[in-house]
Amino acid sequence: MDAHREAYALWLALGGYFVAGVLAMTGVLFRRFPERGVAVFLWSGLVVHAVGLAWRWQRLGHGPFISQHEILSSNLWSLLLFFALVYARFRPVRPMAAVALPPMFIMMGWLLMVQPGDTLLPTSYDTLWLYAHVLLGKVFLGAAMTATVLGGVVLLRGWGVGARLFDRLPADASLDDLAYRFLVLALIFDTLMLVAGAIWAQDAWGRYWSWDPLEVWSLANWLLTAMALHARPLLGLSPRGGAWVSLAVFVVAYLNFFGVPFLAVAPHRGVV
Amino acid sequence: MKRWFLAMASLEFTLLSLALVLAGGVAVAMGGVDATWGMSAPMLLCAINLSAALLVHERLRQQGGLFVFHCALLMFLLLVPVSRLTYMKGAATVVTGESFTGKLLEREQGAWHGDHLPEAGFRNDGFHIDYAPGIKRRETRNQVSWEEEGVRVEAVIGDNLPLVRHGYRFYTTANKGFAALFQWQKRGELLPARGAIRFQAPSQTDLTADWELPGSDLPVHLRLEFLEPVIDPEQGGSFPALRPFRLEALIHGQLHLLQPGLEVQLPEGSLLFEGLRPWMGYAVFYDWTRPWLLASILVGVGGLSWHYRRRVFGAPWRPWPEASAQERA
Repeated sequence: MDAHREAYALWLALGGYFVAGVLAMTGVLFRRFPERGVAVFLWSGLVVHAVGLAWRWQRLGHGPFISQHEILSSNLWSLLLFFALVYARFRPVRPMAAVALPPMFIMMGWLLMVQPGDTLLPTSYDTLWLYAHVLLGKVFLGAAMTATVLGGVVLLRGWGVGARLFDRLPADASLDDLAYRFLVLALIFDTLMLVAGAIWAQDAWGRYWSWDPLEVWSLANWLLTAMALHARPLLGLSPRGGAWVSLAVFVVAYLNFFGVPFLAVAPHRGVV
Repeated sequence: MKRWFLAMASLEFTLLSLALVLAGGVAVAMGGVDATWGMSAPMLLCAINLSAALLVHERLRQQGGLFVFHCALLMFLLLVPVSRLTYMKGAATVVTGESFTGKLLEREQGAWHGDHLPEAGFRNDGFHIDYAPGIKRRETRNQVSWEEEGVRVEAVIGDNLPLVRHGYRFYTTANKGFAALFQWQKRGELLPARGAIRFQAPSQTDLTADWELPGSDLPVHLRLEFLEPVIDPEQGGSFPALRPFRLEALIHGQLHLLQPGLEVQLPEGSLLFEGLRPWMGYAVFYDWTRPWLLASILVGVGGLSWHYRRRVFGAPWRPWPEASAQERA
């Protein structure tokens, strides 16, 4: 029964996210963006999803850190929470929900295809540094995603119909400026995430860095983000150039979070 | 200022050196390049670029937070090669009731590592590892002891909790098993040699090991069989739990069934089987730069956050700057 109610909560949440995404897309398409409707369904989904995650946490005695299902579910929730906060804070860019939410449908579909079996927390995960590492990582990914979504609007505007659909949003230069701020936030939290991960790894596995695939990709991600921030003043990137750079950072980050842990066979694969 | 120095201080050089760090990391990760040189060389290039930039670009020195960040980054870039040159990493096994005396099974270290490992000795006083059903490893608790200024000190180490002695960190691992303890009294020798033959993988019931008696080339093939599972796969349990076992030794083509206290007489000498005792595998790690690396990163992050507090986090975002606001009006 407990596992069933978690599944019901997840389905309800995904339904809420889906409706929010459809409202956002149709709102942009028909040029009457339902700000409140998108917010209501997004926040409703987040609350129900949080309840489902909390039930599972209570039942298993540990957080959503282990299996593919848990990692996808918790990251979907944290990404959408971050976006919901951005949505609330920055009213002029709310229509970018039409760009942010549809890719989440892919994550939702993936989540539904993965078995939600019960998991056991490995002893090496029984430390506060895990929570610090995960929390900092979620903020990093949310910030990187937001920068990418803003860049996505800039890129879409350059392709015919996008110019009309998003003409009510601020100018490219303003979107680019906001994206840059989120990229800076991403670098800071990425750095702290790596530090927390190294501290965790030191006492969990006896070394703070061992060149396993997840660590290598994390380093590549950090270097790419640092290069992106340096490239802007050096190359005088246009908003479109900045958008491509943000997209590259997010793609590597996404692979780092959702590709490597499920494909690597090294001890620190992230998914036990 | 000389052109080459200005080039070293340029953002182009920064991008190049960051790209080389990335390439070095990938090369090390793919196993083709030693980590010490693969990462230290491009990081030193970054350090040269950063040092030159701090000297050349007054703007970097004037912006407090950014200056602090780059100084901290410089410290990090210089510490990493030092870390690689002085670190030590290894593995050891210690039988319960025995002491670690500095001997490692595996060892890798930087060229400048000064070996103080024998001073970090300790005694393994016994351990317990809990297992959940399905042979899922749970909590490890290992009692250890050592002497400090003539006083015996005890501690319990385990998951996420190492023993730290003289900068060396000893971590319990999943590597453990039982050791068959022998005394080999070679004919003509005054003192017997003691040996512990380690068997691994307690989840299996049938284990083998090969040994050569000390001071001879006489091979001994050992086979250890537990008559019951060491850990019940359905109930779980605690390791070590000594189950009934059968230990056979094949010497000179003759099979001997060994019991604790049994002595086997051979033409070369006598072999006494003392008994089975559990052993624990330890990961050993040494890197004195750890806290300094951490400090440099945290100071750097603090500096970066301070620098961006006004430019990024404090300055309001203008969705429609004045010029376009007038157009919209």
